[in-house]
Amino acid sequence: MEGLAGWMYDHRRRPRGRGSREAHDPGAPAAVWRERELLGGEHVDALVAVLRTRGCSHERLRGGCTMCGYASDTPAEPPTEELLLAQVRAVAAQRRDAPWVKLYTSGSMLDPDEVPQGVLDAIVGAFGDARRLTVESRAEHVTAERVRALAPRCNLEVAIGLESACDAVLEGSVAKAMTLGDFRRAAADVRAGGAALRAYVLLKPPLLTESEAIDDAVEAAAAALSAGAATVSINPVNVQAGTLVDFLGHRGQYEPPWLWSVVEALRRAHALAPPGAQVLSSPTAGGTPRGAHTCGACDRGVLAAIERHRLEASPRALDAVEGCGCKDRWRAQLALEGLMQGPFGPRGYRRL
Amino acid sequence: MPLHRRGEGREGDAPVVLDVIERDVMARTAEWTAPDGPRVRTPLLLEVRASRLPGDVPGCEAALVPSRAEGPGLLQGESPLVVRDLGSDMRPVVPDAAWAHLELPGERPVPPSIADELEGVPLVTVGRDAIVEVTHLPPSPELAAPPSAGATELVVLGGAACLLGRHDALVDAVMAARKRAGPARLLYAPAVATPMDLALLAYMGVDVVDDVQARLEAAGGVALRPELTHGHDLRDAPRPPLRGDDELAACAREGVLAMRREVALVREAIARGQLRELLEQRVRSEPWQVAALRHLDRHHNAALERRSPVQRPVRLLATSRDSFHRVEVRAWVDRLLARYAPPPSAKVLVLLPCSARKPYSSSRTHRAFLSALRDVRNRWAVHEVVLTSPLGMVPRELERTYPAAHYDIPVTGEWFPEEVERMAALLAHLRRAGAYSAVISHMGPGLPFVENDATVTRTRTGGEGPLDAGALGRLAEAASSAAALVPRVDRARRDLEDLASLARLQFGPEAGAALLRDARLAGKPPAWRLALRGGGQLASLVPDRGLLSLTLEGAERVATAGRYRVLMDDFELKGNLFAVGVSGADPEVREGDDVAVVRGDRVVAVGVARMGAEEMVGSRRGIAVAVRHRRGEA
Repeated sequence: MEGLAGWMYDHRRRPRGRGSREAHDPGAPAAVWRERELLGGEHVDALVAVLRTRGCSHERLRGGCTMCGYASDTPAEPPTEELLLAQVRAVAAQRRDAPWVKLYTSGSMLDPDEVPQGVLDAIVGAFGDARRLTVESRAEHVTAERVRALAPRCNLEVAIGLESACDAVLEGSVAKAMTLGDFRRAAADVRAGGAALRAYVLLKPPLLTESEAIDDAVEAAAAALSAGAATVSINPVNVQAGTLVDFLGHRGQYEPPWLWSVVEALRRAHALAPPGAQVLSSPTAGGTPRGAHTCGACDRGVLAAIERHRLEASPRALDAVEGCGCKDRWRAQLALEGLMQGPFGPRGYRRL
Repeated sequence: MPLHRRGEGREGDAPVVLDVIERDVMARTAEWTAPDGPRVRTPLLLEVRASRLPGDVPGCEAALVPSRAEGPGLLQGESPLVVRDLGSDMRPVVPDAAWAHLELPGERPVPPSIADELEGVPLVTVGRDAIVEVTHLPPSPELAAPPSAGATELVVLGGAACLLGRHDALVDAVMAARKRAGPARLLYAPAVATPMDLALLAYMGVDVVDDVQARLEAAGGVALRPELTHGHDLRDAPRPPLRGDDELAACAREGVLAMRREVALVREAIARGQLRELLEQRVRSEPWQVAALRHLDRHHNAALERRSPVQRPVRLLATSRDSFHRVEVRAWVDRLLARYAPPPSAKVLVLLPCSARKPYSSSRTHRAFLSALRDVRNRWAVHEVVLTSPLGMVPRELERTYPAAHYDIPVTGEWFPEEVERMAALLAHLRRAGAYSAVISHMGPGLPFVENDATVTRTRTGGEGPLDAGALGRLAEAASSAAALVPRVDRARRDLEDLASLARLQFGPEAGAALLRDARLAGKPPAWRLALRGGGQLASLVPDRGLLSLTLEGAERVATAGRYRVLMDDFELKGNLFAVGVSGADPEVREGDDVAVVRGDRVVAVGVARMGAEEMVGSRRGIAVAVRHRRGEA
């Protein structure tokens, strides 16, 4: 295997210390939590769960994406269909009355090698009454038939990670093993299959400067919206164990993005969204050294504004961010970092 | 050791656009002309001209313009070298901006940390202009070959900013890039220079820097200065101050001016041969810089030594514990160990303390020592050796050489352990190499290797000063009684042996012995001349240089021993030998050495090397040998 994907493949298989592939209860989901969401103009509870499947086909075959550490959620032994069904039942038991259910795997819900049809049927059976049921899949596992097999029985939203609309970034930075064309084809199939489309867009995959990353995320959001996405979620990269991003970070060659960059990307992408479509962000590990952050003093305020923007779908929420001295520093970095001749990890306020 | 020959690497293709004016170890000031650009001087500061940033200071020598700029954004009255950085854009940017003299490539190499595991990914990209090469170097010696492109004039150390604060990685990368660039190319380390580390970077041979760090820090409300670390550390600050644009612009201007002042100071220090002195002050602003200097001294001493001069007309200030390891000091110690043996007829060893005034014999204390020893019977059997720091040991007959006649240290009467250790090691070497019948110490207290040695006669056991009349009396008495027991040495023989010591130190044991064969002394000390018994002259000692200056006959002898030769191409030498005419050089040749210029198998001239062997064969510009005598001259 060549290029970054080959590197990731080898890197994933290096012996590692504590923390990887720990023993878990195979009948329990990897994670379950609740969050507030905006659905049809009102604030609702969403139940979010991550099923512990055999993991992402891209990770298994090619080492996976350069920023994704979900392989550590993947058990050494692929779970049986019975165990997967037990996980679905366990999630359903915790739903209470959440009108929105987001059900993820650390891979693709629509990959038949990962999630058997019987499990999908059980999911639709358990959550068919939800006002929205979100599942995620890599583009190559999305077909109109697979969507059509589920959509009539539930309010289905299929989420696909576009990450970047630039094929050079997809290959040379993310190692996504997908092109923009692949995404467009899958997006069309989602809609043809009768489901809503949600797109994930990365902010600052490795080897991009901060300003390139902002442009790249905005362009990706635009591409997703034009492919018919009703929701675009901008995901600032956080540093997960066992990834290229982590590897580079330890060498001073990667820094997570600034929250100011998230605000900037949201502001610009929001302006591109057609009526009815939403652009939002919910930064994982936001405000921590391993996630998008600022100077440490204003992180909370900026995160709160990003959260308000998500729940109000209003650009005015972003205008309310308080000024901070570190924003000048961020602006200077955008102007100057391109002069550094990479690889990029210019010094921020807080290092890993 | 084999000769360095031109073209064994690819140095033969070296461009001929760089005129080195002054050298100081790896550092140099040079003049360079970019294509269609103005002539600029190194170390060169590229000043950012980006429209979105406040705080430009008018009058830059070179401007660094980001890829997205519409134009150079120069201030009124400026006509600098304009370097356009095509940045890191994955999207193509408009090339061939008419206003740019030089464009840095926009391709992005993969970081070396992963690139060496990726098959087929080149570590080096060559810029569109071909004269610029961006290289990302892991600290690994096998990648330190000369650049592949002969036309390359500027080598850019990509990703250097990621190494800031990581002392060993930064030093290794810069030194590898410097080696890769060779002496004829400029080295640019982007976004790492501050007023604090500029001297360190220049010392490692970085020719081109920029003010990116100064501008970044200014945006955080910090004006960089050379003397003190940041006003507040951004990572620890409770909240970066929210400042007005005017304040931020003022910080930027102050930082840029500090960079300019430091560049000027570094140029001056290089010209004066005192960059190390400046450096040792500056590194103390940041702990990682001290660590970097220590790493450099410890792990790159050989590379530094190859570029060091054997002589400098300035004081060497050994004012910190890091001075103890500086390249000139270690070279002295290494040369003593490798080349020095005491004069054979010197049987009575007298250990003396140093004096602040150099050469020692011009000082009041040493005049008193010399006067006490004057009346010793068989005085020329006495060998005076100074134990000192940081040099460890200076035999009297070498006291006029560099850096023995040039160093200065803070004297407190107390020694650091490493100083004692070095003196002890050199004394042990001396006593093994010599055939001393007695050792007399006139040293003060604090030297256990003297005090615990029962074979050493001590003259200052009661805590007297070195000039105490009783101690001086005991010194004379001990020397007299020891010298009386050994065969009588006449002065002429001892003078010749002393000169042989110097010849061995300068040219090595074999060539030194060859130079002295059947020779006799003429003239008056210290301006000795080394003459042939049957007439004719081999060398003369120039007291100010502390080194022997060879005649053609002397050079013939050294060259026949296979040392200190500079091979020239086959042409008629008129005046000095330029680097372009050098085809090879013995690897021990250093700046300041007397060398034989060899054409074919004939010594055709003798003179002083103006650059080390490495640079002679690695560049094609500048005087390699300042010729003193040519064959056929009257």
